[in-house]
Amino acid sequence: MNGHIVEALRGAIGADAVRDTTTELALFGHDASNLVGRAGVVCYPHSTDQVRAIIDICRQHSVPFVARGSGTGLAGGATPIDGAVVVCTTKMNRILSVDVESGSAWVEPGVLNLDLTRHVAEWGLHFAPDPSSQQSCSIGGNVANNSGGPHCLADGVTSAHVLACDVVLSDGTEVRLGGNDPEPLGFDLRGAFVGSEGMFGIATAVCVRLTANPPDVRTMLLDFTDVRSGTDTVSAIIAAGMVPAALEMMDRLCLQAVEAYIHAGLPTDAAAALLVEVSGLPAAVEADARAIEEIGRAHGARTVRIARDEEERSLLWKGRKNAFGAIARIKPNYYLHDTVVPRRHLSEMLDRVYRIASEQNLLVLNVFHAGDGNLHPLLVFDKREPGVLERVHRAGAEIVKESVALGGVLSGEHGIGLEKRDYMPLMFDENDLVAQKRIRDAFDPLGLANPFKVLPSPAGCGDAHAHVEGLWV
Amino acid sequence: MGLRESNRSFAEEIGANDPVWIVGHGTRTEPHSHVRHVRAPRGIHSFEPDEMTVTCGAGTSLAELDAALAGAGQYANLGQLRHSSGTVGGAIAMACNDHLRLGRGPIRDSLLEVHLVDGNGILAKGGGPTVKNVSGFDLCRLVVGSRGSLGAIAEVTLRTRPIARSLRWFLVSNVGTSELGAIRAGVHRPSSLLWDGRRAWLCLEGHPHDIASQVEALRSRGLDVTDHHGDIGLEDFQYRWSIDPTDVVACVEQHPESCIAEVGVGIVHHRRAQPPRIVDPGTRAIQSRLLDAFDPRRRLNPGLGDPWTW
Repeated sequence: MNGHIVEALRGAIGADAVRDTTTELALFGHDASNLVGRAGVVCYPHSTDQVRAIIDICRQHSVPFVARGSGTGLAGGATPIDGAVVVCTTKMNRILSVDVESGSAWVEPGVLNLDLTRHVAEWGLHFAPDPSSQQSCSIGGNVANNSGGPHCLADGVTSAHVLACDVVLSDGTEVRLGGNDPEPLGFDLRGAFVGSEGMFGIATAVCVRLTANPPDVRTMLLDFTDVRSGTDTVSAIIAAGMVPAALEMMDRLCLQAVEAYIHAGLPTDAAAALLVEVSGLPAAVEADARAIEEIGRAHGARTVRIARDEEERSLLWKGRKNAFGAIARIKPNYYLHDTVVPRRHLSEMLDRVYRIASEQNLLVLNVFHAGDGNLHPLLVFDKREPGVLERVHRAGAEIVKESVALGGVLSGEHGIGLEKRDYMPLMFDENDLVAQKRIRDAFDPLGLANPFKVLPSPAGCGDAHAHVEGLWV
Repeated sequence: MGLRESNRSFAEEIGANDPVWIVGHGTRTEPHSHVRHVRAPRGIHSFEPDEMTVTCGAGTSLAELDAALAGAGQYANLGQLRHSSGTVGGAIAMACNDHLRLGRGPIRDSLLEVHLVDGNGILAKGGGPTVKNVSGFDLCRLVVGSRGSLGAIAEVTLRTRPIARSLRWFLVSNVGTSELGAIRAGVHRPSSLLWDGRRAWLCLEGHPHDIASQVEALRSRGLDVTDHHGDIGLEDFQYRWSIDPTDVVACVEQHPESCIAEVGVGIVHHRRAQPPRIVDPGTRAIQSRLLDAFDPRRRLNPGLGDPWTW
């Protein structure tokens, strides 16, 4: 990084808040994906003014910037390219206000997802999006990726829970997108900003909608001797007119890995298990739980376990949310994919995933949001094994292509980032991509906000796409 | 003719030259009389109850859509309580949310995929056909409420929802601010709560036993709750204010007998126009750039004015 730029940044936000040691640049050269880029310098702003000052300097020197929260993204969305300035929002972590009456809160982008839910629990509220990384992922990152989570089946992903964002654009303008009021004037710029993967500007405050905690919850585990019976149960539940709070699936290898890790009494001999949660008022919960049990048994469920208390419920959810940690007992490395297929094709897609993994001589575990067709094949491997990364990447490419071929989409909640950028033409033709580029240009005509992501060339304009280590496209 | 073929014909009809007005049933706006009229494709292309999605032409009538979905016990949230007639495209383009928004959410969350024709006559798609999707930038959210100014909507895929086992409206009499607080504390996620400073109208959806037990709980707190079957009379209020929901109580108290507020939402149905709202220059600039990019000659539904003045 040009020394003048680093000095200018230090002058603007303080020497302690601007870091360029080799260690930090290496740490911030990637997010939680396997994609490694190159950070030029890392800034830790404490305020909107400091974010604007950083962006002003970037603009003066025509240097791109990359906003980063906790770095838990899995698609390379926060991986800096070609020495970009990393704007790390972890120091902007205040909950600014909570309005219990209207069920909303203004927070800074560095607030952790679970910290927000814990903070508002005393008023019987929570923030609905709950990614598996919710203990460490930030609200700003949730906004950038339009994150989901197991409990987004009934209540929707992040976009449905964001009312407004205060944003600094690449030209230094500060804007409020959306608002506390329900019908702000003009286009829904808030909606466009959520999920823009840091390419429209940097959010410095977010107004989130808070959701009332349900009076009653029933958590159930249904296990099956074949995967298709499990996926057919998913479709039957939805077709019966129920939208559970969560509807998750784990396959045998995943059940075995998780059970060895948390000892929750999971059925390790089952081909698949469904974790189903219904919530709401007591009569509806009782009726839905009974109907789901009947549907499950009609589709061959071997056992239906109903959590007796909060402790057992927490244990079951601990198994689901810590599945990615559990696989370390099998192999030291993993590649987590994220695609969506129509629910009716879940079984067929899982067959294809198993076939692809077998052809590439890889182990695959499946733990995913079955209720919305959002697959998360987890390829586990030891990267010290010669040639294994190439096989992992080949398998990933095939999984993405097969998902789209079945009428699905590239990503359900991780985003496109760098990882799937060059797969966008599988879903979108040239005109579609031009339309998306227009939206980006309207927010960031200068192209300084997190360039090279999401849009493949030529839709990605004059961005000469740098190749980053680990990119499998 | 298949839907995709219809979309191409629609794009050809719109062309790239003269101004056009996209005509639905004319239930939400008066068609412009001095420009060429074009109608969007009609018909339900696919409805998958176990996917909870439906794909149809934007010119499909809401009545046709509602009937098809109701057959499988589902609905699409397009604000039908406010406008039960008209077209699907009109409902999306105008984003006329109804007063069940508190429980059902805004119309903007219903749109999963859109095919539209821009001001250059180019057909483009945004979003995807599945209930969950974060692939690319969110053209769908921009289209909802855009009044056709960014593109003429040809086809949409919508999220559907199960129709609740039961839906009941209640009238609560003698409701001041403390009683309003008691109602809010006593019900879980109501579908609607309207208040005029004196009376409240409460809509509950769900299991009949849950509805009954919540109403009993309200009555046990001394509230005067009766079933309500009549018209609330929102159409008597000409204006629609959009305010911070925190300010709703103050607004109603300031304008007694002049308004009915959607509590928890921030919409106030009013007899007087809302004072002008300020839109900052930065968001105006973004909106202008969007219009310049999608319809540089402003030939789609001309004469609408700037989006922030709607």
